[in-house]
Amino acid sequence: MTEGQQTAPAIATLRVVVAEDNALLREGLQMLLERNDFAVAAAVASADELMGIVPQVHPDLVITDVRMPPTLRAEGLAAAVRLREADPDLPVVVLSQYVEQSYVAELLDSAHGVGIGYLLKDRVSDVREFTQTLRRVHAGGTAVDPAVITQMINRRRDPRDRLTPREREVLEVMAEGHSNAAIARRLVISEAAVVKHIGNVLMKLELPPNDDQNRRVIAVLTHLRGEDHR
Amino acid sequence: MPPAAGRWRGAVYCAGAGVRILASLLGAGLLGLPIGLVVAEPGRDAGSVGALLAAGLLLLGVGLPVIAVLLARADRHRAVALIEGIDEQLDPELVGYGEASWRGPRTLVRPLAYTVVVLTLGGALVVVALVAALGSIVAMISPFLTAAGDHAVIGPITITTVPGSIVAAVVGVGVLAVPLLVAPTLARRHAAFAIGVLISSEQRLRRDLAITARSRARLVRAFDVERRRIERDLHDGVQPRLMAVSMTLGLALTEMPPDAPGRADVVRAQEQARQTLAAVRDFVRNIHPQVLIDHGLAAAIGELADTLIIPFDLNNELTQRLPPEVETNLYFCVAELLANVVKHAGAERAEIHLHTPRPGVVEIGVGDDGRGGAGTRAGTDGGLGGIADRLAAVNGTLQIDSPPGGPTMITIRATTPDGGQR
Repeated sequence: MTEGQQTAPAIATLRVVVAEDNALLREGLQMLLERNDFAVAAAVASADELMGIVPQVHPDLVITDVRMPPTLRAEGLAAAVRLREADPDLPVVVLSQYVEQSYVAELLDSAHGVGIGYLLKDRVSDVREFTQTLRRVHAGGTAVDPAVITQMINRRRDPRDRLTPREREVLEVMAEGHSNAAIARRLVISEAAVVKHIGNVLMKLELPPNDDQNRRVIAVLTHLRGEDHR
Repeated sequence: MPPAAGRWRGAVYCAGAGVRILASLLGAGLLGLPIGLVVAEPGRDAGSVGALLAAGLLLLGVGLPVIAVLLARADRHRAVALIEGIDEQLDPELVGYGEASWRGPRTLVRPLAYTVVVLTLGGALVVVALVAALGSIVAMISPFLTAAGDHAVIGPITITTVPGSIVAAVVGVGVLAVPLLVAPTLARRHAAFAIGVLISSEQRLRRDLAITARSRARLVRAFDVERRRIERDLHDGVQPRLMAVSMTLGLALTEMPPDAPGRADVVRAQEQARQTLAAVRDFVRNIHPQVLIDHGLAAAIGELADTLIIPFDLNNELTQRLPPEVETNLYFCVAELLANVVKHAGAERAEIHLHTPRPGVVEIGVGDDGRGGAGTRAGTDGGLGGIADRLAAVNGTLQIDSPPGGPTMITIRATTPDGGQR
């Protein structure tokens, strides 16, 4: 938030496809994106339309709702998974009402976790944060909503590797795909402290130290998820 | 039902009952024939009188119960059909009272008592009605007879004149209309009497219980349908609107310079919208979790357990999805059990096992290392009552193993309607 100058260096306009069945949200999302250097190549209202339009317009990024007609089940998520199967390099951000991690699991399973995002819809309202997350995902990053991470950590069954509140905070921000410097800024702590906390987190989860911000997110997510597949 | 239809129905009912009474009387008369012979033709020797009497009594002894059971069965079905509007014979799926048996003095008492009353009082009424009907018919055709110079005899009255015969015909029509008028009342009285005498309180209780069990299952089902509807309404109506508010505020913030007046208020409004959204999301999740529909019972229970404050082990051996109704009921049972673990057990760990002991049966065990004594806490059923309601809806059972001091293992078991063939 601190470097919010209007005269930011020109950033590439990303072409996105938006899939959201609620007209109010679809239009709101479209407006929000277009005001923030995104070009909406298409805005559709169902998973079928999404599957049809993506091969035609070749977007830089796909943003889709989880629940869409006709079944009102996780059709959008299924479409995202299929799009990734067809083109593993296509960045996809799934917007959801559900904190349930099984939805994230479905997405992570399909994609090695590169260039995907799973965010609660509420995050959209924090416009700058949201658009930055979109750009991180487009650059091959992984972003999982902190609320989902919280729930994943809860599933840890061994009290031995309980994380301290600060470590959890660091982990949650890290899972959104932020760099060490960004985490430090967000939590108002020093970057050295961030490095220390991340080291502790990885150690408690019995993961090797890792400085690559993408790979360590994937490693942590994979580990947390591994617990429910025993 | 419209009065006219009720009238015809009543008339048909009464006519049927009358025919059965006549048939039964005829049957009883035939059985009593040997005794009738003794009375009608006196002057036999003692041996043949004794033989006839013995034969008649034997015939009556064996035959009357048969007649009684046949009559009672037929009358009871029609009485139930009239009063309760259900046909036990046509629809065996319906909850009936069960059949009266040929054997057994206990079940014979009621048909016999019923038959005695109906054949005597009912028989008298039938005879009166028949005589009246016969007289009316003669009265109605009397104008033709008198016009042809003949005369008509109705009981003690003899009609010879044409005007007299016309009056008689009108009276005859009036008398014939009387049964139609009284039939509905008569039919109801007869049916009420038949049900009152023929159906024991035990049969009634058993049937009421079966009906209650069914309606309980239906209520649980309706309750879940309603929950799904509320979830959908919130998801489609309330959540997007709130989200739109939150988004608009977010857009406004991006347009505002950092030091704009009122910016702090907009930030606060956005935070409030976000908190409301989070509250609605939790609410929706508790009403009916979408993950249950999308990913099934084990996933939904896992997600639910994630929100617990104590660690747990989830051991899932289910390989197939269950019918939606079973999944929903079992989910909310487990939710209740887990809530109890957190609230009452003082446990440090919980465990949940899902498995299929044999095809068509699902078993879920919820255990904890708490203080035990579940289901015995005074003044509260610890939520176990709600569980019983839900289990009843899926033919399930609940088994509590919770000695004082723990550990507790509560096992719920449900049958899947399609025999687990899915």
